[in-house]
Amino acid sequence: MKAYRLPALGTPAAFADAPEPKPGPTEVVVEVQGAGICASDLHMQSPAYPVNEIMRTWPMPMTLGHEVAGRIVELGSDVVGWEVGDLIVAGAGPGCRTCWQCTHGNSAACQFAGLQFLGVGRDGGLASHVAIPEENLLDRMGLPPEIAAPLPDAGATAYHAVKAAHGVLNAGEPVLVIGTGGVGSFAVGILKAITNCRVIAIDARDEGLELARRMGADDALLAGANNRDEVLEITGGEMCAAVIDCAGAPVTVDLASALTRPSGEIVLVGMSGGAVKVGPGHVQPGVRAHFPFGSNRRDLVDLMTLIRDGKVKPVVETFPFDDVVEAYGRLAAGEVVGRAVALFD
Amino acid sequence: MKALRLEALGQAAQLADVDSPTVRPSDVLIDVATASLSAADVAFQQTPIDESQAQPGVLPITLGRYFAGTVVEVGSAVQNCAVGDVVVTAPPGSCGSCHPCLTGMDNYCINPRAKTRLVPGISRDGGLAQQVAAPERLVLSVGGLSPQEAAPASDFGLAAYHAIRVARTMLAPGNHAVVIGGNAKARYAMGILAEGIGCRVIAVTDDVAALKSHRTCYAETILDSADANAEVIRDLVGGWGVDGVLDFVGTEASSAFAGSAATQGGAIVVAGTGGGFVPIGAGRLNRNGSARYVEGGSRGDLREVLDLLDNTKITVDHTTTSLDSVVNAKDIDPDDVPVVVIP
Repeated sequence: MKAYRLPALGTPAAFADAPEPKPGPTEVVVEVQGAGICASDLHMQSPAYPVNEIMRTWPMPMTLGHEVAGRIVELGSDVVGWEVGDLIVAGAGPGCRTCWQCTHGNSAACQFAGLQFLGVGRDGGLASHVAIPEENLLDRMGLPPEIAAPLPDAGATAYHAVKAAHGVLNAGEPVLVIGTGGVGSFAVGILKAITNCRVIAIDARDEGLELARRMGADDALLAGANNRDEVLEITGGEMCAAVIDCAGAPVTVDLASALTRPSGEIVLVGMSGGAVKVGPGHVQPGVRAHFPFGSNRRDLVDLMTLIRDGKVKPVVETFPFDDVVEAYGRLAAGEVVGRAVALFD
Repeated sequence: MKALRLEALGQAAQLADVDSPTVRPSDVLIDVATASLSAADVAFQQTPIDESQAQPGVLPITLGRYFAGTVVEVGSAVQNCAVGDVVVTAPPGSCGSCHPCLTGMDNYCINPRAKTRLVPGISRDGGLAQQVAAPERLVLSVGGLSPQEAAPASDFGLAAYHAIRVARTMLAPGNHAVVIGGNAKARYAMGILAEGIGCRVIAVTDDVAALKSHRTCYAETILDSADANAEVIRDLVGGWGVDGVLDFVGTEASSAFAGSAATQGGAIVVAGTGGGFVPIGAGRLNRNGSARYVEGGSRGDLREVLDLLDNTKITVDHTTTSLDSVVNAKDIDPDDVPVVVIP
């Protein structure tokens, strides 16, 4: 079958012929209908990509694509919860089911489960078929493939980040989202759906601001040296209950630290070299900073429910699977508005 | 009556004979049973002045921010406090209407006037005296706890409890907690974590002998700061690190250790002000973790910690002394071993 594959870490991906997948005992084979196109796939192709011991064990070549919506066509011998024909989305797994975090629903912080996932250590969804462990499956609530596909990573990560700050998001308080690309724009939409906060967006690109407005942002500001004063002008001098920083650069982290009110929350999603300095003189008293990597199954279910009920309206740009190379090119050039999704016939 | 008076900043306070306090309409008048010497009481007498502390709003002033005693008179506007109640002062002053106040985080009130107005020992005469007047909004009943225990608990115990409360999700029974420091706040935290919750406590201190010398020490393991690093912690607890880290020192070295000792999803609390910080971001070990910088505690925290200390009999050693003997107390470090004054 035709697949978009990585020959080795740090080398360019390309279309190649891959064997048809067979399900393991607790796996299903899914006919892929939609697969998300993510910037992290580009990172893995960069010669500068940091490769650790675990990554060296990944089987290569490896089909990319870690966001998959599809239809089950074959069941492994010991699969218990699914039937052929079920429409699914593949997301984060339940972790080790043993450590404190996993037994409390926070498998995103599991100490023991490896990072191996579809397209990240095993064959992913940029192919006509993919084998998926049963524990990663969720019913996709009738959502079409182009809507469901980007939710497990971009959408659920944003939901997980917003939930980290949810306790302080009181009605009317300002909340700032920095960086409104694939993840940040979801954060804007989720904030508008589950809080009554005033949502202010900052992005370095006009496309990002346009996307933030489409997702419901009350205010959208172009990134610049005067952002702190501009935000305070919008709020009448009030600091933000929370800042969700999806850029994570040193300058955006400083902005977040300067704009979060006492006992507010800074949620650092982006990974561009910035770190919040938690201590006196750097943030207001009582401020908590989080680094909520990934998401839990709960986050994906909650987000799909919001979308099914029309409360969050994702913006996606679709490409036929055959045009995946072009899709990654547009993503690398910063031209994609919303999340890019490859669709299969 | 006798009172410990500060005439000017940076001078030693002196014992003086002063009039009984004036009772304002919103005040209660308290016969002081105990006063717990606070960092501010000492800092006001030191030269140079510690600018990071709250500064006295009036001079001369009777010192004493933290005290316990019996209400003997109530002002005309007092509603929820009666003669005979045994109370402590509940820090901080707070406005009651900003977002932090409305969510039980009143120690982070954003209204600066409310924080300092009519606060005993800060902007009006305090409790290092035989009597003190305090606004009703600043007092809380001690419940069953003795004034001896309640006064230091309202300062150090409160701060310890608040630091735990904000990280409570991770500080679950059976989970590992590192407590950095051997001062009074740290020792309250060890007691609350071990006896109040059922955490397994690892204490990390510069002075192991001093920590062991206390009548009560609730740590399961005590490590010298010089020997404590992320690898030692991981060997001790298995996995990637501990579930919660409470740093009551807050220096560069202690916060660097705090940042490295927490496991994935772990909660770090920066409760010391020694110039350090914990970095949160990509490339740090505690993926899905968090760090919070805390100060003091809320009224709700004070209610809970007084009840908890009463119910569990967790105690932290303190020294007891008279008003006469805290004259020239400018070199005492009450943060280390609480000094309970009986006027």
